[in-house]
Amino acid sequence: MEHDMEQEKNLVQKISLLKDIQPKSNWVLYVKTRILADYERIYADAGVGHESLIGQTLLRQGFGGRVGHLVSYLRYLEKPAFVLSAMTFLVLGGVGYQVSQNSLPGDALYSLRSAIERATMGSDPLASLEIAQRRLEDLKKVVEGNKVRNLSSATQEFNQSVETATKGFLALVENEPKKALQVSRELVQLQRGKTEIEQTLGASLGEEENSELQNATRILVEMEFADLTTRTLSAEQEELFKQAVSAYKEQRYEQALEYVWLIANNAD
Amino acid sequence: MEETNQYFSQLYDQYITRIYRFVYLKVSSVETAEDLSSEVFLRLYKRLREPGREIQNPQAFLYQIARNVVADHYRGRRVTTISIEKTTIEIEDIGDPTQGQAEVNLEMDRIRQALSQLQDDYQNLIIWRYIDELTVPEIAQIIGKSEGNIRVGVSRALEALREKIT
Repeated sequence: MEHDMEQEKNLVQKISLLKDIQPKSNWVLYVKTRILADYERIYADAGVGHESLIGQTLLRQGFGGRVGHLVSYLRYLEKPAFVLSAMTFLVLGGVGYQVSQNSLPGDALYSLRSAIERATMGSDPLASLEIAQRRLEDLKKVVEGNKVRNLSSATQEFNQSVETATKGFLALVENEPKKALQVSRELVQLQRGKTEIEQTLGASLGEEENSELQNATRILVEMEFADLTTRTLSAEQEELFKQAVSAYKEQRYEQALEYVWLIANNAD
Repeated sequence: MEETNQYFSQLYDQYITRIYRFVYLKVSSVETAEDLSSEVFLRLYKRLREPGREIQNPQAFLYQIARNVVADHYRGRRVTTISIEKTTIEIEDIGDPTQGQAEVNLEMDRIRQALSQLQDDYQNLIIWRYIDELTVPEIAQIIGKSEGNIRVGVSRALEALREKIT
C-alpha cells in the first residue's frame, strides 16, 4: 500500500514536468493584439468626434466651399448701411479674438477660443492631440495661478480633450501604426504633464482618462511588439526588446514604448 | 465595450498558457497548437461581445472550446490519431541544455509519449488534475459529471498512465 502511494507520488511528480511546456511570449502578445485589434477598429469607427458644428460644416465644405461661402456675404457691402456694421463687427471681432486667445476654461470668452480652435485645427488625431496639449497648458496656468474658479472647467475640458485625442490615437494605431509611433511621444508627454499636475494638486484628474491613456499606450506597444517579432534584430536591439517586454509585463507601458523608440532609433 | 476588452484581456492572460499547453499535448505541434489556441480565444472574444450572453464559468468554457477546436481539427484533417511518439519534443525557455536538463527533457518526452497513448478522456483528466492542478469540482464542471465519477476517472487514468510508462 505504502509502496503504491510512493509510486503514485513519483508519477505525479513526473507528470508535473509537463508544466514547463509554455507558449512563446512573443506569440502570446501577438495573438492578443490581433484579437483586440479587431475590436479597436470597430471602436474607432464608432467613436464619433466631439468637434463643433462649425468645425464639421467647414470640414465637409472643403476649401472651395469655404471661399464661396465667404464671397456670398460680400454682396451686402454694396449697400452703405451695411458697411459701418460690417466694420464694427470686424473690429470687435478682432479684439474679441485676441482676448479670447488668452482666455482660460471657465472664462466668458473661452467658448469662442474653443470654437475657433476646433474650426481651424480640424478633428484628425494629430489635431486632437494638439488640442489636448493646449488644454494641458491651460490647466497648468490655472493650477500655477491658483485660479480656483477655473479649475473645474479646465479639468473638464482637459479630460474631454484627452478622451477625444485617445480615440483618435487608437484609430491611428489601427490604421497608421508608423505614424502612431511618431506621435506617441506627444501622448507620453501628455501623460507626464498630467501626472505632474496631479502631483501638484494631490488628486487624480480622472481615473477613466488615466485608464484610456494607458490603454492607448498599451495597444501601441503591443502593435509594435507584433511588428518587431517579424524583424531581424541586432544583439543590441534584442536586448532593448527584452527590456521592453519586461516593462510591458510590469504594466510600465510608457517605459516599454521608450524602449521601442530606442529600437527604432537603432535600426540601420 | 471597453469593459469587455479588459475582461477578455484578463481571461487571456490568466488562461493562455494552460489552454496552449492543453492543446499542444493533444496535437504535439507548436504551430498547430498556436493556431488552435488562437481560435479558442477568438471564439471566447466573439462570445464576450455578444450582448446578453454571459459566461458563467470562463475556465470551463475555455476548456470546452479547446476540446471542440481540437476535435474539429482532427475531423477537418480526417486524422484519427497523431502519434506524439514520432515528434520531437520542443521545449522552450528551460535554460541551458546541461546534463541534468537533458535528463529532465528525456523524462518529459517519455511522459508525454505515454500520455498520448491514453484514451482522450484519460488524457484530459491527467492534464487538468496534475498539470493544470484543477480541483475535482472544477473538472466536474468542465465535463458535466459527478465528482465521484471524476475521482474514479482520475484514479483509472493515473493507473493507465503508469502501465504505459512501465
